[in-house]
Amino acid sequence: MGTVVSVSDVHKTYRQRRPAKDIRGTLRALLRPPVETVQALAGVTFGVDAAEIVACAGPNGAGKSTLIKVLTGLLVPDRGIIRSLGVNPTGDRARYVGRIGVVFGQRTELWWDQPISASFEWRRVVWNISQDTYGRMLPIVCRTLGLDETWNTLARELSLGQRMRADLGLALLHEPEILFLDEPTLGLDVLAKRSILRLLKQINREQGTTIFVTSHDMGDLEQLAARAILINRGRIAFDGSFQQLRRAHGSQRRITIESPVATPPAIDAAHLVESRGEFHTYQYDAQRTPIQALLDTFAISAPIVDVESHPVPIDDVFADIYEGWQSEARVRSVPSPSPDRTASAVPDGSRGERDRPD
Amino acid sequence: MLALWRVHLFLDLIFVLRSPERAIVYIVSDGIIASSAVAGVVLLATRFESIGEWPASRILFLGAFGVLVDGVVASFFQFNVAFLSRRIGRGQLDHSLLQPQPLRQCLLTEGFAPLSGSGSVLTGIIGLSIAASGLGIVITPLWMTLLCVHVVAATAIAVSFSTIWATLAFWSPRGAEEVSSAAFDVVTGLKGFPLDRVGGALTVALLTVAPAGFVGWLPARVLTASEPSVEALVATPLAAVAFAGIAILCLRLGLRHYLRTGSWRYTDFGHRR
Amino acid sequence: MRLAARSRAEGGIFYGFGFALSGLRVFILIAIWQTLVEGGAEVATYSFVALATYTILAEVFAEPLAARTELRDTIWNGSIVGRTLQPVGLVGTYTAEAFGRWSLRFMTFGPIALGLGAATGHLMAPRSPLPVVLLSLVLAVTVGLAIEFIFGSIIIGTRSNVWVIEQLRGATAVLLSGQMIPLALLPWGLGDVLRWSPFASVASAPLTLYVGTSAAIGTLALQTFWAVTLWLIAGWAWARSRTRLSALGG
Repeated sequence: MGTVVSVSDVHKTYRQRRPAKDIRGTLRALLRPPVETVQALAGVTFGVDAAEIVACAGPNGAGKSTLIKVLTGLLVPDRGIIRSLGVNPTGDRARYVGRIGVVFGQRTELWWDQPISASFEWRRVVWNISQDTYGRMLPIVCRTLGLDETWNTLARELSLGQRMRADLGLALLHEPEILFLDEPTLGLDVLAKRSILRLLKQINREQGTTIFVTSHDMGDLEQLAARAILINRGRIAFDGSFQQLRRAHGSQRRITIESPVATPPAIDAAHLVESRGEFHTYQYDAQRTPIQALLDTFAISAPIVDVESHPVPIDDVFADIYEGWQSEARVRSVPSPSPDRTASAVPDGSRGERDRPD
Repeated sequence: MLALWRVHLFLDLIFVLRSPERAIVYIVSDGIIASSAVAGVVLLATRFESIGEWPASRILFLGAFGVLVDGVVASFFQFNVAFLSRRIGRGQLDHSLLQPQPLRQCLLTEGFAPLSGSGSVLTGIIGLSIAASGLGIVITPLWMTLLCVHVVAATAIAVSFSTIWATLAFWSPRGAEEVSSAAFDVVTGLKGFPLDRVGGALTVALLTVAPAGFVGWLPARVLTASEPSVEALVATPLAAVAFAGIAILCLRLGLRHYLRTGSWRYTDFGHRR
Repeated sequence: MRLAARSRAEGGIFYGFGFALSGLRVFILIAIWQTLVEGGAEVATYSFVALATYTILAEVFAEPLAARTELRDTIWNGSIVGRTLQPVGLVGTYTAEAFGRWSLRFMTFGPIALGLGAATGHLMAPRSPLPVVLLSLVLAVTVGLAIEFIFGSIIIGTRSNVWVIEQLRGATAVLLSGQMIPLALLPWGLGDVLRWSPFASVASAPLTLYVGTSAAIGTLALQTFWAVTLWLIAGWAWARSRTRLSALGG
């Protein structure tokens, strides 16, 4: 299995027009609008192997959408080299996009005033999908994504979740070699999410489709992908497995204790995250504090009915990381005589060993 | 491209058959809207029996030709293909760039909706027939060929002109979002006027920077003249080639810029609907 | 109002191209009038200067004389629903936004067109007292906005296609209102019939008062009649349609 996507030292800068503050500024802006430069990607380098599933995450404005756009050929980077399926995405655009599938969560490819069936027929013709492939993929896609019930429904009458499923079905119809997904589970209910994730893993396993996905739903990403790339301010802040990400963040775990006390006791080595009725959740560092010690401390003050230990939800891990980055940015932006950099949970530029899928 | 036109015809057929009453409303209203743009001048000519050297029947021919061109545009360039600045300004161009076909092929086929766009075509043909009868024009195969050539050329000029302006949206997506519809308005709003007496400078302007003259006046002059000169016969087709060439050049420049800057905006307003 | 004006202006200088196109339209129509009114003759009581003035003013005041708001766009894209959650009246909001958008045209295209018209002798002084003309303009906008909200109610109430109704209205209103061609110049006595319609009160009324081809009292009375009648209808229709409001998009 070789590398199908290679990104090398890619930079991308935007110039954005700033709104004027007053009437005079507005009239002046008619002739010379004020602009601001934004660095969306600053020296991004990584590779993706065939049949790999890579999750890309980062706070809003980190550069994820820009990255997807340069990978799908919608944007030319200012500097750097991108090779995907052996070609420059913008160089041979028409042929390249025929080999990939792209789903942007907020943008439907369906024809608004047409039933889904018509959009699929349109797709078959425009993508020049053979009858064999169409005949094979259509039932799979319809069954797995539950499109049968809405097959003859107009796109404008579909819910967001139904539209998303149809869009994903469109993207899979021509058996793409790489699938680029930007927020694919946006607006979906739990069952729909599960079926989509199952389908994505299935096509990855059976057809060797490489998948590159961005999302704010970290739980989905962790279920789907073996590898995570974190982007912060246009740079890769982390590239490795989710386990490595957790380790880099610290060996935080949570323990939920069921105990019939209204006010849970304070524990030195842990902090109370949540208390709901008889269920009290604490977060602690598993490397420093053995769970037995925690339970012993709790038991002194209150009886224990049941215990559940689990890792910190990945959403909270990411939230802590983003918060750390934001505090760093605030510290850097405030001039001080002796700059004191707050250590981020994940140091910028850290690289974990990539766990290669079996 | 034939396969693509076929599938878009299929989509248009579904749309029309799904609700025939609604389709009829679209088609009829299309004809009324297109006719309204030229009705003022036709009514003026009727009131005064002529405008300059143009008798009322010839003005009707002029107006009907313009309406027919409107209809051809609506039949081949719907879904904002004729108003490309809307697609560009709203960030919808990515939808076309993610298709495995050249952009020109996409733009030449995705707007094909001959059934729902037929209102103006039918109205134009009816108007032309009445006007031709009033002028005593003998309909020969040669004359029909000339008519078709000029309709295609005028359509190309109108769409190219709109596209040239539309490329401004690459540099100013929000400000120029409606610029191609404004440009198209100039052509459609002025196409029904006879330009014989408007003066040299203005005539030149209406055959260059605002080519409404090619979308009505000049073709109507040629088609209603007893012996049109060779220059007059080839002027509109040649202009079509020139405008199309400029439009393609501007699009290429704009696309190069777009691939560097992308689009920060996105609304699906009007996308494939 | 300020937000709407600024939103339009932030398009930059490209917004001005729309003005250039308006100018071209004025220029061509004036040339047409020159063709029709040869040697200083009058046409249906209109002199050449009167026709030229009519055309210039119709273009400068094109937006208020059409009285279009964001209503159709917000119905179509469904954002009207969000506006119903705002603690301000819908009618007032739409009207204020419309005035904001119109103000940009007044500040930019208006002075240029009026200045050029006056400098070239194509713009005459008002033949009716200016307060009368201004009052007529206010009434015209009032009638226009009432028509706008009645049409909006029809669209909401009948769930009809927004664009078909709006385009039909737009295309026919320019002709029926006398905004492009003075109604007196239409054949078969059409103008005599159409001048009684509410559309004529929106455009033809203030323009004909300015160039002196209509009587002040009759014109103002008719505009007042339509303003009162249509706002009563608009109020009733709008209240009814609010209960049937459904977003047609989004």
